[in-house]
Amino acid sequence: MAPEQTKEAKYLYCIVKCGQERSFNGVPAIGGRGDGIHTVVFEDLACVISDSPDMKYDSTRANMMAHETVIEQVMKEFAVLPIRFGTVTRNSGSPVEDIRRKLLKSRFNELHRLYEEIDDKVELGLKVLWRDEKAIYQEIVTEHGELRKLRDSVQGRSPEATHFDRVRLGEMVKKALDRKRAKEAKMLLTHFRPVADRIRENRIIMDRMVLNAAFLVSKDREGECDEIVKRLDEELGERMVFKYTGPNPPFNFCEITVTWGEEE
Amino acid sequence: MKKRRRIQQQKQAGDLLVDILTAPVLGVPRMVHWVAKKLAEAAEQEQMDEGKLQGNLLELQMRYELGEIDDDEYAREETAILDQLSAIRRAKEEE
Repeated sequence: MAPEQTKEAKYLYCIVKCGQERSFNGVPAIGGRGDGIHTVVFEDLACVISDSPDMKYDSTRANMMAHETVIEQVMKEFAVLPIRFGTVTRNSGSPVEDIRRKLLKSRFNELHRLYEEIDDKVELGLKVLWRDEKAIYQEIVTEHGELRKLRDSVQGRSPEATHFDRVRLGEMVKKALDRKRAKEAKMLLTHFRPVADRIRENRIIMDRMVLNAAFLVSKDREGECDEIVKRLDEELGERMVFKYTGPNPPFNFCEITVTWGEEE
Repeated sequence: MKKRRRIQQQKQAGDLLVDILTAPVLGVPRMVHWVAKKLAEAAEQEQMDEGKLQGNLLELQMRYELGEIDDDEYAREETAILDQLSAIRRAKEEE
């Protein structure tokens, strides 16, 4: 197949409150073509975009980092409503007009409302992992007498003869791990409830992970949140690793999903 | 065209159990292999599942952030997962 002439489109990063056309320098646009980053304005709202081929962006680390880095650059000056990774105008003869009309104008009130929700707030991310996975499994074995007994009973016997016991053993370990995680995650979150306006728990992405959370916190309480993490790390750092990030673009609380209205 | 491919990530789960179950408190390496095999079978059933692969990608990124794998290994595994994802998407389109 001959290489298709890819159509030109616009890639969308975020929405800000800004009534002027302007550009953002010093950070590369997604796609690595050296495209410029600038705004499309409707009244007092602006969408931050760059030129892009009309294509689907894979969730590679490089692409996702590019998306996030541009938004972080914009965040140095504005509170942002981040747009979902990979959003590109579709089959459009006038992509700029589409952004203005189908996004900024038609969702004007909704965007303003969302903007108010995050205007004076920051998103902070906290991932907590058990430092030593083996130690955690050993705790489980120590804590569960029944599990220990079952393990002892299958030892030294053939897998064929103990098939169902082994399945059961695996299930018991998994259940015990889930329970342990839930208990410890709950304990950790208790500390943040007084300072966070909103808390979102995201999926656990590996066995060692205890908590994958995002907090929406008032700007003037960010320091308190930092203190809590610092204290928890001092207290529990031998057993757990704390990965604390922020201020992040508020992907977890007001990410904008764009539909262009004429999808098949 | 549907191609059956093995998922790399199951290896990790297998190794993990090897470690745990061969730890001094546990022992019995044969049981370990049996459990690892069961995990592999479960993983195979999920191989047409995009959500599962997205999860693998997240886990890979997490391990990279934690410094458990280097740039090369990250790039290699990311390519493998993305290839599987696009193979699944192609297969779905052809259905």
